[in-house]
Amino acid sequence: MAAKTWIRYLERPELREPVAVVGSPGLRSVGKLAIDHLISELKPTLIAELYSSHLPLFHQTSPSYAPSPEFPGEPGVTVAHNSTDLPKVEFYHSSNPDQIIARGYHANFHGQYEVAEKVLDLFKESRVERMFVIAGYAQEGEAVCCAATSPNMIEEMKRHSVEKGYEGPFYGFSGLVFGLAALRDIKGVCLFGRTKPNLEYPEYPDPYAAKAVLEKLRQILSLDLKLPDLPEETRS
Amino acid sequence: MKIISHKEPKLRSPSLVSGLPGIGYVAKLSADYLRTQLNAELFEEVYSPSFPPYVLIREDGTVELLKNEFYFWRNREPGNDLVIFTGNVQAVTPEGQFEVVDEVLRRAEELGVSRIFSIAAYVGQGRVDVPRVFGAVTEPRLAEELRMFGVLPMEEGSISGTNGLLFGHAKLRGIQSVCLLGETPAYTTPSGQVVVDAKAARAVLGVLTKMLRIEVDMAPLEKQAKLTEEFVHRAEEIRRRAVEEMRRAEEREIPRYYV
Repeated sequence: MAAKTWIRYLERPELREPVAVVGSPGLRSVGKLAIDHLISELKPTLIAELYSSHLPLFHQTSPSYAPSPEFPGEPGVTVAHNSTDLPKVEFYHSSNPDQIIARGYHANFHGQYEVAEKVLDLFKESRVERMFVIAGYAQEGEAVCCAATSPNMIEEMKRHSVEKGYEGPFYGFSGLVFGLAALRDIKGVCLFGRTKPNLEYPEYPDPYAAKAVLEKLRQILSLDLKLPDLPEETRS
Repeated sequence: MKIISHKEPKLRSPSLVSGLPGIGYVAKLSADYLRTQLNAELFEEVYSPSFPPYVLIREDGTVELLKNEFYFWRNREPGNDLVIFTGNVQAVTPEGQFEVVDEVLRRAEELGVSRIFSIAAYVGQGRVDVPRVFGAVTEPRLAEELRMFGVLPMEEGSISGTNGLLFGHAKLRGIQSVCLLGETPAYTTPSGQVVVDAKAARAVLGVLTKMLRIEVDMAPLEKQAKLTEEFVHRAEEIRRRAVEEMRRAEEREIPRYYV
């Protein structure tokens, strides 16, 4: 059977200049933790789900998206509360300002571009013109740095005291959604939270890096958002 | 595959030079050097889902997708114009490589390309002091022409990836094609980093510019080739000393209790 990627719409809210916020499992789970916190705090409405035969039922990529209940990004069909579901990308809507929050999921190697393009299809249909991607970075630098689809956006971030700081590759779902956005006339900024790599468990959660990025996002978008309560920082 | 065309250049009997990243970055460095020195103009970008799934964040903080690019250059002298095909990646699947090559050949036919020069690397055995340039051709009569430029025939072997496929597939489409392979030791650092082989690129461009009858300032590449040579020499010396030290340590540890 040919691979297939499709979106199931649950609601089509009226949106006013919506901003997209995107995150996915990855380095120290910074993106995933931040998106999960936004969903749990802002209580947004689930408006669409992306399914794809490219979303893996088990992980074979390296670094893996650890299929352990201790770490985010469980692969395969999930079973809980007398129900079941497939791996998917979820899209939520939250107001003030209008946002589409995309909870990403990594496709297999051959499907990453197709899934990212489909995500951008939904953003274009929703008339998204600006997008914020959240991820981690493991280099020396500020607690939060940025990258953007254009030099203008880098300048704009300076007004929020966020500077460029990471140089190198940006893998997977969030990287491609970010990069391809430039070809679809969506202005994108990626906020990278500084973290330390964990070679044994690349996605071992770093809630401190996620919190630092959320704090910046809250400032930039003027969000009414309670930040995660964390004990005194003892990073691992 | 997504293609973004910026221009439809009208060219005078162009030749096409192709070089994508591969062993020692010989092909990419050669193509990039040529387009930079000639100040060639970008006219088409190719994006493929068969490229690896990542993007690059540049030093200035902006994002760059993996892509292949076409450039053109108008020759002010009586010779041929040029199309240069290069990029920051090769498609990783055979299907993707065929798709990209199909697009290059479609464009080549549309632009009236008379000959394709595909650049690749030839992995030499051991140390490479003066890199040789090997050649492969789609028509026997081109072999004689290569010999005149001091190119050694590649008697047998295979040329992997898009650089090889473009050369081979051109034959099926009836386009004259030459593959120039720069000899490289394919040196990697102890940490696994590929050393960009400017010496091999200089050797290839030395031949290519003569065949194309174009003048290119080679001084910056000469400088880079010198740095490559020094770097490889130093790294080899460190490696030689480490091996020597290990050998001595092993000798010291010879058990003396057996009879």
